[in-house]
Amino acid sequence: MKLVNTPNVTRRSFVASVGAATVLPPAAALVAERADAAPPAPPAPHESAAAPAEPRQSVYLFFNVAEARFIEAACERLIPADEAGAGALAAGVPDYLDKQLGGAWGAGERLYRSGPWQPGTPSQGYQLPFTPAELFHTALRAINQDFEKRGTSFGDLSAEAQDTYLKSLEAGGRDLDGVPSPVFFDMLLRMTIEGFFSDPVYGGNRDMVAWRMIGFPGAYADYYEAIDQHGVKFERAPKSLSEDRHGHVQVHSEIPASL
Amino acid sequence: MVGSILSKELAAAGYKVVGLERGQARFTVPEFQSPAIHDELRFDVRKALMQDNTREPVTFRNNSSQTALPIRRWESFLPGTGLGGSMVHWNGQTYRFQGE
Repeated sequence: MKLVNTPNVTRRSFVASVGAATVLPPAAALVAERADAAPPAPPAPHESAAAPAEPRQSVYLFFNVAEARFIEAACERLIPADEAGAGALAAGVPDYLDKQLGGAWGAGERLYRSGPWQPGTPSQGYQLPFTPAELFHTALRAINQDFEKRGTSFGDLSAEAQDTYLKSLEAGGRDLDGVPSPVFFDMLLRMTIEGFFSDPVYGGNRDMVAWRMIGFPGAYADYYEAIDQHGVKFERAPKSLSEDRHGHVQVHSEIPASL
Repeated sequence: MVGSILSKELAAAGYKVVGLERGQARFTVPEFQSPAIHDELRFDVRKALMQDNTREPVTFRNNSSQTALPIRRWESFLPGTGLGGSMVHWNGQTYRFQGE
């Protein structure tokens, strides 16, 4: 197991990857860097919600490097890993965002995009001309330019400072090149929750970590043999709607817009 | 949902009843089969059983002093489409029991 610090391996995913290989004490990890070392033990199966997901390097097609750094750090603050279970990063939430924003939904599928254009009342909902993809690129560019001027980046801030910054976006009064910051924050939060809890077919909720954490069974067709068993805790492993006959989840990120 | 109850009552009272529905035909099998139908993101969040608002948009205002604006994404007001009416699309969350 060679531990290479690439730009896409953040401090958190690096820590998570070391944490996943709990069978390896630090000395063993050093030995494993040698070419002739024995292959590392396979990661333990996920038996509980507390088991961290397998480390995996994300490849982003929609987000550029600076955008991805912000998204990875921000998602992990919105749903941080803690004693309850995995956080947004281990669940692959940034991958979900990347696939959704880079696909049909990000391009404005089922978003009415003709006039009249004018600000509405809060109850009239979203009235901006941006597609979700345009909104994210625009807001993220403004945010990253802001940090560049200050000679730092969001990912380099402490967790507390990151929370303060995210709260300032949520509170509003800030214009991100035409995107009101609360609109961006709201969409980021919604998509983080979607990616964390939705079926893993769409690229998030990896290994169904969120479902294991809350005890949600997923896409079982029936509970025929369980229905007469009263007072028994339901402990079946969750089931994705995209499991093949070997139990592997096939990721298919485009959500059909109609039935 | 209301239409089917009314039709049943009218038919029981001896009337000849014709029901008209719009949209494509969809049935328990194969359209609503498990596991694809158990998808909250697709049906509850993205409203895949609702009218396509980019082709048939609706404007909205709370009172006549406001300017009506298009509903750009469905949120609280949800006009469904397809055979079966609101029995089918009222959230797409009714589990339909089909063996695996």
